[in-house]
Amino acid sequence: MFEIKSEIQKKIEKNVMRVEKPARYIGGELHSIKKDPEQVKMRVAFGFPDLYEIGMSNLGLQILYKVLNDIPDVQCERVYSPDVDFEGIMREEEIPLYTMETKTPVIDADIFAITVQYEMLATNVLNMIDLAGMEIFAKDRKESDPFVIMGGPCTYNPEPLAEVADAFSIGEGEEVWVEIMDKFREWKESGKEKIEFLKDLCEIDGMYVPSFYEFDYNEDGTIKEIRKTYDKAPDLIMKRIVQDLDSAPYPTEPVVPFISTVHDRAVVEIFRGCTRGCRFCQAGMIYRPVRERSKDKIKEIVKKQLEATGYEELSILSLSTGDYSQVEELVTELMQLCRESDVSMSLPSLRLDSFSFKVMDEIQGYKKSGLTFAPEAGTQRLRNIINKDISDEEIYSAARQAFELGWNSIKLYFMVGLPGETDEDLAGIAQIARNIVDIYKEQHGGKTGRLNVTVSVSNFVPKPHTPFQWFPQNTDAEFSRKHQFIKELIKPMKCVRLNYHDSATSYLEGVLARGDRRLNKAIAEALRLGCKFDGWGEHFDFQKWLQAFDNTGIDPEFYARRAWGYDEILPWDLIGTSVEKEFYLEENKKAAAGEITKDCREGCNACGVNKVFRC
Amino acid sequence: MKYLVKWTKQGSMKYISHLDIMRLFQRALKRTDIKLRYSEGYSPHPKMSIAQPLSLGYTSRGEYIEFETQTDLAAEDILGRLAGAMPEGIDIVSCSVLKDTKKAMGAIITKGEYLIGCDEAKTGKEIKALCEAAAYFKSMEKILVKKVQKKSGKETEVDIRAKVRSITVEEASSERALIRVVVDTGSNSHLNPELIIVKLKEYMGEKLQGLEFHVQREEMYTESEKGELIPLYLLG
Repeated sequence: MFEIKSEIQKKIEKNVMRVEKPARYIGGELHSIKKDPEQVKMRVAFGFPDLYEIGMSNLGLQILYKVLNDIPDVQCERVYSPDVDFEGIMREEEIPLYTMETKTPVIDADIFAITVQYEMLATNVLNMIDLAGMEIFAKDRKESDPFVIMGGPCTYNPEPLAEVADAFSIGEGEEVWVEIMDKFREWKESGKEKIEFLKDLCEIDGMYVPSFYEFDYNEDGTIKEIRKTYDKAPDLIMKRIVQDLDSAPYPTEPVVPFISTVHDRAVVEIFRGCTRGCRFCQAGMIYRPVRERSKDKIKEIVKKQLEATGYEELSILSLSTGDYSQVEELVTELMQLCRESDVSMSLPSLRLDSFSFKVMDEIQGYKKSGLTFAPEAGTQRLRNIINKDISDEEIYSAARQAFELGWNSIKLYFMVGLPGETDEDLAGIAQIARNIVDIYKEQHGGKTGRLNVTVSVSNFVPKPHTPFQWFPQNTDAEFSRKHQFIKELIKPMKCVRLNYHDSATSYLEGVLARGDRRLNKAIAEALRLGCKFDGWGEHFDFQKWLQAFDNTGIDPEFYARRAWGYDEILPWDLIGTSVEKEFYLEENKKAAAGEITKDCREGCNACGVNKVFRC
Repeated sequence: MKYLVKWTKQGSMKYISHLDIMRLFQRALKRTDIKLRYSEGYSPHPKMSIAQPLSLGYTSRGEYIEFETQTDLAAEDILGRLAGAMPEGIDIVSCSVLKDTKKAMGAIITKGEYLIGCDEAKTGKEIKALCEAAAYFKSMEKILVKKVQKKSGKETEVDIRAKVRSITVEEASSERALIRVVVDTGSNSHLNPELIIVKLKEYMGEKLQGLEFHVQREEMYTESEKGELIPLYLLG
């Protein structure tokens, strides 16, 4: 009944019942790994700067947890952002940020790795470092503090966090983390100063040590020059990828949470990358080239995972399921496998073809939840500009089929604020909804019955490493006017509901996405003013952010709402995705001319990827 | 076949709620290839239930779960399979076949045994005060506690003394105090041991209000016609 506990454990015990969902903070989940301390030479605390329920749903962290713990003398432990209630108690009771597995302070680890999945986590990243008891800026930290190494999709523009991180790992982490730990082992045994390890890291492809680069600026605020301060630091940091997914490590025994999380299910990633080349989509560019996992390997993973977890649901993961080369065979066989083991299946991002409908009909049965289409833009003209390959006719025939099969709930995703957009394109959004309602009525004797159409409008945020990376983001006023414009058109349709995103959030996302090194101080200031969990509506405080920009002399408009010069040095120019800047420029021109670029499976578009990686 | 499994909830498992424990067992059964029977109807759910949910934060040495399987398995087989599939903090104690498949556990349980412990009362004075409070509690004929009724919202007085079958100080050393209670537990009459702690604190006086108590469920019982306590694991 009474156990022996460490000081931190006692403090956690004493307080954790006072907070919402104590199970977020206790660890001990199935397949979490605790090693014999005798065996462990290096400890990595792996941080996910968001709530446990979000972080536990992230496949990337589960993969790297396995990769690191597969190294015999490495112990990798997980760390998540505490919710504000527990953070308050941690600060009051002086509980430092600790690891889930052994409840030891993060500051005692060798490396504090942090995965940055989206821009709005910036303050949470800094807050984790602060909660760990370290200085926020790398230059102020002690020799005894762990190295802070960041990675994840958001670090394809690492600059807004470049003064906080000691190093960044750009791209996929499976291979590079083994190399990092090898270098670290050597360095630790050598007993040298921290700076020497950072120099060692420069020998590893994909590693970016920001303190070895300095940025000079022109009077207009644009970047004049990037200078290296360590001559052996690479001129371009090319992302890392795993070329062959079949031989890549995959967590067949993932950590299974006690409490329900966002994606509380078995998950198998079927391929990486995308060939479609939508011009607004960062994922479509940075994850190139397409690499498929073989059908047999996928099935093997699924079997092992289901056996090891007892999950009651399986989901498959990729940027677009429908593009898997043997999608019909794969889905059919996985469905068979799931039936045999009493597991339900969820299939995101299928194409709108008859096979998909057959499959969805079978999966969802009587309980048809809803179908989702993402036309992204309201007219064919604008869809050509953004290179989104879906036609009106495809949408309508899909809707027709869906209604025939008994669906009566449809979700449509659009963006506003796209390059070249006019009011006609906005009206097109409402028109698509109207036409879908009409199709339903046609089939149901003129009645809308149980029909439910949701039009979801997000605000376009130009992202680095895309053909639209130079584009000025719409202002709040523009976004608001566009939301209102669509709202008025949709209002008369009783069965259509409109959702749109908060413009201020999109603005901040835009600033952080294309931010440079000068933003580090603004983010730190925002944290000081109390900003955290900025991606959560209930916590986001835009006024505080404006205050933080003001206090640090940053003009956020400069980043989000300026038409960037095509010949400008971009803050992320040091980072290579293997897609060439010339390709983005070419695509940008084609967009302006309304020309499409075909899916690269139909012929190479010479984006540059095959000069570095195997396509 | 219907089975009754006794299990413990220790360490940090005390923070895992009733619903999450249900899911944990469901997944453990799935991993060990024990196929549950499902109810019929529009949204079938597995035939499985945990008797008398334990308050979040309590540990236990006497939890029970019952479930029906699609195929008949030896009780020892189930015990062995589940024992290997549990996280640290949950131990499988026993498994028996339930012959009476109609009655649900919730309807059979009438009493629960708990240990109320405190390892913070460091001085002899504090320990003494706690023992005296327990003795005083025992000596009372009636202990009325105000309670708000869930449905009507009306405030009523409940006699909690009548719901306490026994209360004894089991240990009172310089390190800790342990009080063992047997109280009404179940759908007919139920007492949360938390209310006993509230009263003990009251009897101990203001100084000791801050003491932290820990509660552990020890066993759950049904009663014979003569009123003898029969621990649940003996059923079947």
